[in-house]
Amino acid sequence: MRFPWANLLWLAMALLCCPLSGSAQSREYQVKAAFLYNFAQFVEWPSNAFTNATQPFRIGVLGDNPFGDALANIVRGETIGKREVVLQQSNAPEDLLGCQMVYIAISDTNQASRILAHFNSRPVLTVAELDGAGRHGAIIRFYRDGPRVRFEIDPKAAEKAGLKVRSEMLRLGRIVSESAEAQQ
Amino acid sequence: MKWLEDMPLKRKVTFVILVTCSTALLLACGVLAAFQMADFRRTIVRDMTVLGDVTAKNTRAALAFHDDRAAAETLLALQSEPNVIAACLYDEEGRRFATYIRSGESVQFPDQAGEDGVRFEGDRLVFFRPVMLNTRRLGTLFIHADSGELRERLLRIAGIAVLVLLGSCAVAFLVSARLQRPISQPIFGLAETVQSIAERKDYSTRVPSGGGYEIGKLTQAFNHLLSSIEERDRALSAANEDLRQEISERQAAELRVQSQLARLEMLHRITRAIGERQDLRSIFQIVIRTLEERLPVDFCCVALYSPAANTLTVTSVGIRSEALATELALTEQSVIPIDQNGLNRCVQGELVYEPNIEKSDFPFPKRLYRGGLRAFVAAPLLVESQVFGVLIAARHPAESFSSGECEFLRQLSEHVALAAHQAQIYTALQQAYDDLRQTQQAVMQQERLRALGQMASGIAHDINNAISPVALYTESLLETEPNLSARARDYLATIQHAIEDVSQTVARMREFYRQREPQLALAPVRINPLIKQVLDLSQARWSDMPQQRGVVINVATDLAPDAPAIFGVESEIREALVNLVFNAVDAMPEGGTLTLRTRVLIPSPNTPAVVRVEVSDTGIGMDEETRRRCLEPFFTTKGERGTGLGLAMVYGIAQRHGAEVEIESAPGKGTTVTLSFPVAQEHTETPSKESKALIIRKSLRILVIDDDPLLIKSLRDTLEIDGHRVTTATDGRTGVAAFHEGQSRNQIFDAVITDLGMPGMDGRQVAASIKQAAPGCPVILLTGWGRRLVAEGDVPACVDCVLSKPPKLRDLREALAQCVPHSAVS
Repeated sequence: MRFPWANLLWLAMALLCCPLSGSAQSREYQVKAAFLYNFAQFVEWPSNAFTNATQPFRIGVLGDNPFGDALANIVRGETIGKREVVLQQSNAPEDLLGCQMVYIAISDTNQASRILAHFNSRPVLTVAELDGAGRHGAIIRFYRDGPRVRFEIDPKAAEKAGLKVRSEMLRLGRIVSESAEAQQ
Repeated sequence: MKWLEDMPLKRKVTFVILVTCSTALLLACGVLAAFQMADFRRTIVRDMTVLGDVTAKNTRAALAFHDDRAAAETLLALQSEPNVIAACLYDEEGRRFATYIRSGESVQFPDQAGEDGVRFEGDRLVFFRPVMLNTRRLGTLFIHADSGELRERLLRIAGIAVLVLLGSCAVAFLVSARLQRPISQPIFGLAETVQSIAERKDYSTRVPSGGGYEIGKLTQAFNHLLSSIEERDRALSAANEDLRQEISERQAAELRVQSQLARLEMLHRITRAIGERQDLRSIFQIVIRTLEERLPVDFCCVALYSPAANTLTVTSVGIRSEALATELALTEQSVIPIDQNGLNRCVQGELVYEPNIEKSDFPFPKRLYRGGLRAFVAAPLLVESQVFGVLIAARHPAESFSSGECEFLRQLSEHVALAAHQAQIYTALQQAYDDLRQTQQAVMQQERLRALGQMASGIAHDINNAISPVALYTESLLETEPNLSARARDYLATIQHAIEDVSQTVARMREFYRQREPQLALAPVRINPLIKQVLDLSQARWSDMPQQRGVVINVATDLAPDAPAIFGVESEIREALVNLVFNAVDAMPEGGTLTLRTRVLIPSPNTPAVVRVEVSDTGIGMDEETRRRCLEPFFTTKGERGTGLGLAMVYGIAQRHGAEVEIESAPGKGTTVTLSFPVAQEHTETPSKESKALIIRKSLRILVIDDDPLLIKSLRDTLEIDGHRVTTATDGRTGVAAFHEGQSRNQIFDAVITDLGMPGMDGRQVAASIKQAAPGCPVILLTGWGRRLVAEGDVPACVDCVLSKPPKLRDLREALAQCVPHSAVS
């Protein structure tokens, strides 16, 4: 695989020129978009997550799309387990029940449990911001560690959703247990 | 590579083996090392690739989630891989993401991720591997590995290779030292053998057998070559030996040929020299001298063989041999008795060679040995297988005659014998030739004499014819003319004597060619008066002619007074004496004394007495040769003046009279010729015919036939005086015709007188015709040849009487009286 120098140069320019304030936002979400795509690579969905073999892999964004075009750019032309990747945006969780991955972009934490309830026991990988609505109940939660974007994983929740998370991803994310938190 | 060629074989073989082994080993090691290295590299690459892949996989999550710490931790796991010196992870954009460097190492990472792939930089392995998540490239892993192990391995391999090389070289050296022996040993042997052969030329040397295959074949071939060389060498030396022998033989043969040639040349010279000579003595001298000088020999002589006495008489001795010959009593004319040993064989025709006579017991070899001669050759001189002489050659050293020389002497003796024989033949031939020439001359002389005699005879005949009338008329006149004066009668008597002398002279003249006249009866002759006559007759020669030249010849006579008469013919004896007187006068050109002497000798009582007549002069005399030959006919010392017949005639006359002729003479001492006549025994006097004068009274009819008219006339006249009737005819035919005519007229002739030689019909034919016509008619042949006819018994058959001219009237009458019967009246 080759990296066209122009592309590299462009990337470098983009990184240098984007101010953290405004573009940091987009930069962060660009990383997160890549993360989203990468999560799909390290997680195995149960067979019942799809109705047939050709069913596309759906990534749903619940709430306002924070990614802009970043996510779409990343998944364009990509496949996940030989499935096409389809993006779906909705503000209603119900719309996104057919998705295999849902990014909860709702910052209203109050709605969290309700939203999550929709996906509860469903083979849907839920990704949320730690400080967002999916704080409780989402399987993967992003958090910031300085300039870095990191994530934590709730393996029990994943298990519950019937998803199998690969160890190498588990090694990278912060392991949490929602249930344990919930009990607290 | 000259250094390699200059090496001894052993080292060369070792060297080759070692180099070959080392090369093979090096090659093997090199290839092995290369393979090892390649293999090792591949292994490293594979290992590193696997390691890289594993690391890439392990870091993909870290990359995917931008967790550089996790990535660094993952990379730290490479610590367990000692080869990896450093590793670096680049993110999606190629920025350095995480690194790992082995402690103690310092590595400069590339700022940017490079192209994927593995490459070696020096002894380091550097590679980039992509980090993939599904189909997405998350970044690039760079690993920098150390390939020091590779070098180490290489060194190790090299070390091992060197060790193996050294070891194998040592082993190979040892092994080759053993193993090369089958190769080098035979070749050394070969080389040594070749060298020894080259040094000693001994081709019998053989190379020890060198096993099989090439070297074996080589040694075998070389041995084979050697044996063939040896064989050739032997053949060559044999041929050489043969050649040398042949050369020496040839040289010897050449020498022999040369000596043979020399001898041949000598033989040739001798032969040529003796061929030019005819007398034995000089032939022998030449042979002997040449042998002495050129063969050479120390002694050489020739002896003639006399078979009767069985001795050899030395005839010729060489000049050099002379001293020796004197010493050995072998000088010329000395006689050698033939002993049993050598000479006996030699005179039987064998060549005798006595190589050493030192021990010989026979007298002749002993004699030679006394002179220091030890070897001698006696070569027979053979003519028609008769030995007539012996050639003797001798030398001081023993065994000194080669077979060639013996053969040469044999051949020489043959040549000498031949030459001697030829000389003898030549002498005989010369003798025969001389005799022949003399005989031829005698015959020629005789022929000349005969011609002379015939001429003389003719002349005599003519003279007789011519003087016949003179004689007839003179006689008739003296008889029948009584009136003749005394002077006339004296003259006529002189004429008659002269005529008679003429007649006698003519008769003597004829004696030149007629040796014997048997009709001349020997009559007693008194020598002394005869000598006086002789002196008278020859006075002109001994008195007048010398006086003209101023030379005086005294004549002395010493006559035995009572010399008896001898039997002989006076005229012949007179002639002989005249001849002797002439010779004596001729022998005294300066004058001298001529002595005529008679002696009577009675040699012995029983033999008749002898009258010796000597004619001596004090002239020049004769030498022995002339004295011996002076009686030969035609031998003369007077050149053209002499006929050479004088003394011969004297000798002839003497012989006819039974007389001996002795001649004593010496040069300057004068000559005495003595004729010894036997004395006549009977002293019968011849009855004188003159006492009886026969006159035929009866008149006869006579026919006279002659071709000479003068003779006819004189005959007719004289016969008619006697009272006969004479009819004449001038040739035979007319005469015969006249006779027939007379017969027919019955006038028969009582006698016919005819000449012998006439033209047309000669006297014989006439006589025959007349006898045919009248056998009783006597025929008297009157001829100038008369005496000869009687002498030769050639009286023709039909002739009754022969009368010679000039006829004497008395004879004529007598003949008529005898022939015509009853005619004579006494």
